[in-house]
Amino acid sequence: MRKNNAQAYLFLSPFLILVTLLYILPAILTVVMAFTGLDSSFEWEFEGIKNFRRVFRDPNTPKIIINTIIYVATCISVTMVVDLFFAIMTTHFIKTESTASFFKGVLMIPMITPAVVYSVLWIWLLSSNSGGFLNKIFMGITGSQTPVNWIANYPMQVVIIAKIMTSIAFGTINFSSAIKAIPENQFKAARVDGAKEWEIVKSIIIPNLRFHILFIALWETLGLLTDYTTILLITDGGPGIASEVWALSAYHKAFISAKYGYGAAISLLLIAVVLVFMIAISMVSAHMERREADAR
Amino acid sequence: MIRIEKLRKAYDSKTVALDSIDLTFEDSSFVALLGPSGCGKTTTLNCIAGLLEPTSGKIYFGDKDVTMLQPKDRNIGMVFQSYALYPHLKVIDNIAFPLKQKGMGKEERYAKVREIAKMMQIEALLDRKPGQLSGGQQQRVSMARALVKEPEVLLLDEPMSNLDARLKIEIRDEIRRLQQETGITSIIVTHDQEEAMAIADKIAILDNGRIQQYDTPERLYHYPANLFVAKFMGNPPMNFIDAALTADGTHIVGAGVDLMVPEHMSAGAKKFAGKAIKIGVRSHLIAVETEKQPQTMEMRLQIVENLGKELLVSGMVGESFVRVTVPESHEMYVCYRQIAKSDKPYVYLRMTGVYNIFDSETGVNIGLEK
Ligand SMILES: Nc1ncnc2c1ncn2[C@@H]1O[C@H](COP(=O)(O)OP(=O)(O)OP(=O)(O)O)[C@@H](O)[C@H]1O
Ligand SMILES: [Mg+2]
Repeated sequence: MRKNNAQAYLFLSPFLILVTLLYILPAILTVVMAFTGLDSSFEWEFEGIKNFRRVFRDPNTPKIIINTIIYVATCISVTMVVDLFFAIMTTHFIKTESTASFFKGVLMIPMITPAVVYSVLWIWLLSSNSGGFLNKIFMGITGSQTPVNWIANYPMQVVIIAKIMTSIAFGTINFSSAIKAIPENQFKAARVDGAKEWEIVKSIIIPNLRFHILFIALWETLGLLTDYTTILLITDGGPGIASEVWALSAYHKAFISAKYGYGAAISLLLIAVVLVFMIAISMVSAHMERREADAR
Repeated sequence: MIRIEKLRKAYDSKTVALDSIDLTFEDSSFVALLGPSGCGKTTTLNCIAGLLEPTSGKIYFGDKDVTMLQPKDRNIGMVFQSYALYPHLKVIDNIAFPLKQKGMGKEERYAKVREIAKMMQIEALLDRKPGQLSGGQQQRVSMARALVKEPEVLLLDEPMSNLDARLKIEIRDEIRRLQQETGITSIIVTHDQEEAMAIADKIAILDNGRIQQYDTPERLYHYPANLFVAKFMGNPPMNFIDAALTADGTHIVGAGVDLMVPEHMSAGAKKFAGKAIKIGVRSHLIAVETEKQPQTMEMRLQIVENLGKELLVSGMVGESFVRVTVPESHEMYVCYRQIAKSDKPYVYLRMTGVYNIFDSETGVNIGLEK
């Protein structure tokens, strides 16, 4: 047993070293950096908690926090509802496998399209000049002569919708396989017991999926908090800071203003929040595993 | 009364699960659907429940045609093989679920659940989740859930197949008792012939989506309609000995005997005159002689087993393997043992009670032909 362990470590050691170098070191560096005034001159000068104080004194901070909350909360709630709706429709109601697969395939397109291509598509769709897709339709219907600058006028709405569309496939596919795993007899029993379709969704499907729902919600929230690519590419947080979110602001501070220490401090605050979510996720997945083990 | 008429169910063009089933279930009777795996028992039950739509045919509850009704509109209770309890609900809410669907208030619901829980002796379990129950307890809970709405029909799909042998018998007796107390028309699906014999007033034997015989356990045991039923019912299984009917259909000859066809079989025997047949006889309706006598069949002994209350003596009669049970007595045991070891290991069999004759080709019971 001991010997096996030693061997396992031996085999793993190159990997472990790599992980340490690539994952843990940057994390430590970020933490250290957050307490320095590191900028484009690359001088590691300790400044204590000055960066953090700056974050809270920044007049933009409240707006960014509110943006982040709106962005995450809206995306997550809409995504979850839509995920469940599609999963239940394609798995429980549409029994023909081919139709359901086709539908899920369509849902996956935004997810597998490269973010840059996807964002360019949106920019073209919503372009402010009269050649933009939406503007053509809009002007055609209303007869208006002035094109609307959609992205500038509705930046939050646009990034939220674009983000939701890329997120749907993951949850839908996850939920739909979870629905398939519910024993058929539970549905039969419920039908015999007099449950109508909506009641079956409410009393059989949703409760059976409750841990999957929790898991996906946490997982997606984590992604929304840390991944800013969609916003960066469509609005870049603008106009002004109208669609700036926390993670994107760290990027802006670090790479546009070259205030690495300041950017690291913002990231560190985000990491604190993210850690809470990660602990929650691991607790939920441990619970799911235990439940599945019980079911066997 | 429940009536099934010409019920047919084809899942696709190749799988015909049920082929023209006709069955009638009397009020307050307990009927078992018995047959090997894949013969269509569950399909029949699901059609009665309304969980499956038949391809053609009709189902009546009383005078009402329910063929196209949803399960919820049929007033049935159902117990599933794996119990199908709702894992996230407490036992009390599991049992109350059908009542909740009817829109019954919480107080009333729980009062009814407590009542039935008392009858099923599961009062102590009401606050647990299904995951915290043993198989037998889950079984009781699912029975309670099926009975709480006072259904017109109780359907049970292999309700005991997940239980160990001892518990099986205990629950079996309990199901029988509950059925008799409540008088609910009940249909149980099983592939265990012993279970069906013990519990049911009538048994329908299915094979390949067709009814082979629908009769009382006694008649199925003593007068099986065909070879399939004969092989399926009883343990040890019925013995089959090759023989033939004489050209005038009055005698059975073969295996060294020449028997006159008994009166009640004579009509059938005329029809099958001259044909190859199998004599079907239960192992306890044969007497064993150690000396050759007229009208006995010679059996070459192979094994003599002591089962405690009786001996199981087996060997070959011609080409047919035959088992005979002999009431146990020590001298006889020693005697048969010695014969089995000797170089002329023969005993002689005489039929002492009812036997059946089957047409070798079609398998039908000739004696039941009119
Ligand atoms: N959903 C289905 N699609 C296609 N064929 C099916 C389906 N369900 C059952 N069958 C087929 O119909 C036949 C009867 O099945 P059924 O489930 O009624 O058998 P059963 O008598 O209940 O068997 P068991 O004792 O194994 O439960 C089988 O040949 C089976 O393969
Ligand atoms: Mg079955």
